[in-house]
Amino acid sequence: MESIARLGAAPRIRTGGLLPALTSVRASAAYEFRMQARRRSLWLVMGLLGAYMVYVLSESHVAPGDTAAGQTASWTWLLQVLMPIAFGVLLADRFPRDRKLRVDELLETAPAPMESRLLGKYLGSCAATMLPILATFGIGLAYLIASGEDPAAVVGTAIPAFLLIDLPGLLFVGAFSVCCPLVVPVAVYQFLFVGYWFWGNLMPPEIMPTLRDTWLAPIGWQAGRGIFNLFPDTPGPAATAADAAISISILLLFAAAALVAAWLVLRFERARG
Amino acid sequence: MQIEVHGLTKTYRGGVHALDGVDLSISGGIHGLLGPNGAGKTTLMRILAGILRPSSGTAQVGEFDLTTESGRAGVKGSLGYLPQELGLYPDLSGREFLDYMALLKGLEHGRRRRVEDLLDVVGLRSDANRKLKGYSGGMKRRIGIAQALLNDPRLLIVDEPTVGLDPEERIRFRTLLAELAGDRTVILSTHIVEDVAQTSRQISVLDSGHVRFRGATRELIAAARGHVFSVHTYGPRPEGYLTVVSMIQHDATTEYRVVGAAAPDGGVDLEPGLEDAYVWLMRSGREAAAAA
Repeated sequence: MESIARLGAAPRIRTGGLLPALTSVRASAAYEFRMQARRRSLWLVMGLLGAYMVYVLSESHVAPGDTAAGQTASWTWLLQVLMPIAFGVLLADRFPRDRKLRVDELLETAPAPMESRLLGKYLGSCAATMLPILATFGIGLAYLIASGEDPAAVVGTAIPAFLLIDLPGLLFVGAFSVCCPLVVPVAVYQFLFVGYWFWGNLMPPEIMPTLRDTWLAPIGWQAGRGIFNLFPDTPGPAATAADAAISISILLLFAAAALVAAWLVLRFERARG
Repeated sequence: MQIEVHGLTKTYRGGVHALDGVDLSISGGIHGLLGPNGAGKTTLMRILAGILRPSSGTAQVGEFDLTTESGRAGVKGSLGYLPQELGLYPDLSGREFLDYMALLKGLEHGRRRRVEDLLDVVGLRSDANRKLKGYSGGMKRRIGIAQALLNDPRLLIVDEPTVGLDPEERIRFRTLLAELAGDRTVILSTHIVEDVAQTSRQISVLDSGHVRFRGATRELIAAARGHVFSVHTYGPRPEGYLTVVSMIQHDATTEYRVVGAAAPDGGVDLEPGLEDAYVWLMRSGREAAAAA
């Protein structure tokens, strides 16, 4: 260790107000992204699942005989069948990890507002966990183009399809997976989440009551059917573009509500001291 | 930064009284905090760092009232904190971790320069790109010290800062603390009495949530005069009314440095050090409690 004479002038510090809060959101998001993106298990689990999804695509051509746009939208929806399960499971340890590593005590002494760190953690870790999904998505699109589909139609459909079918559900799952383990043990949450996913998204309503055909299903049924006209022959209630818009809005509202609830839990814990 | 604590109590859920009516007044310079495990030192420091809410009493750090949420939030802008159990993200490099903490502490302009300067100060510039999981205990401690200094804090709270440092690093760290104390308030909690002896003119001793002593180090040492002895024995170690501070094995005899109310047979009066004084304080306190 050397003398503090080496230190230059004291740095300028800004705490309180909107700009410092945004800086800490950005910092938390950037470093949570880095840490999650460096997880080997993320790439291993998502890689295996992604390989399986691409295999399914290559074997079945999700919507044989459909247009390039239809095939692209089908592929986008197919991703949403299983990959959000791994997405949710892999996000569930983000808060408990801070406690386990005992970093939370140090973070608590920083003047950055708690809500900024919460939002940054959510955005950064969700974005990183989405990377392998996006990579799988890209591989599938490349496969469709390599199979002779029109590249312009594929790419032109891919972006809105991902934003409307996959992203709202992922943000919904991400919010609950980051926040719920504040009050539920990680393993219990993961078990319940996987059960919920199969029951609430994949279970046919004929077998038992389910959320599958409702606005609350994050699997993207409403957007897929209402906007991209997917699965016209599949039994179940038809969905319109309005249904899709309502479903997306509800999913995003629920995600925001989960974040607000987590903020209240953290505030309560801090106040209880 | 002036710290005033009056009648401070902290009771955890389950009814554990970590602090019970603590009164302290701390001004600039290094203030040593001594006490056995479970004395309440870490709880006191966590309250002063704005992490914990006191159960009752008052705690004022500079202009910040730590019994209020806004006071606890406000003090963090002036605080450098090194916890006893330092948590780090293993997958970040030393440089990344400091940069992250700097951003959370509100450093904007001059942030990168500050990080590099502190890496130099703690001697980790050449290892700055290595992941923290590869750092030794001493290197992690040095990163902890660097993060505590990022915001040029007016109040520096360090809990067992020299654990894991080798003797040379410990000495260098003590020198660094002394330099920092020039225009800051530093609260140094440690089990290593030597660290306090070398750095602090004012100390507090906590025991079972109470302040057993507060004042100048020399006063505590003076109170132990006449209670520290050297004694050579051929037989078993002296016990009962004496506490052995150290022992040296000679060829035929054993030389003990002991603390007690009265000199043992053949005991030679010694000039006490801070360690002797601390042992005497704790022993006399236990004896007084037993007598009561």
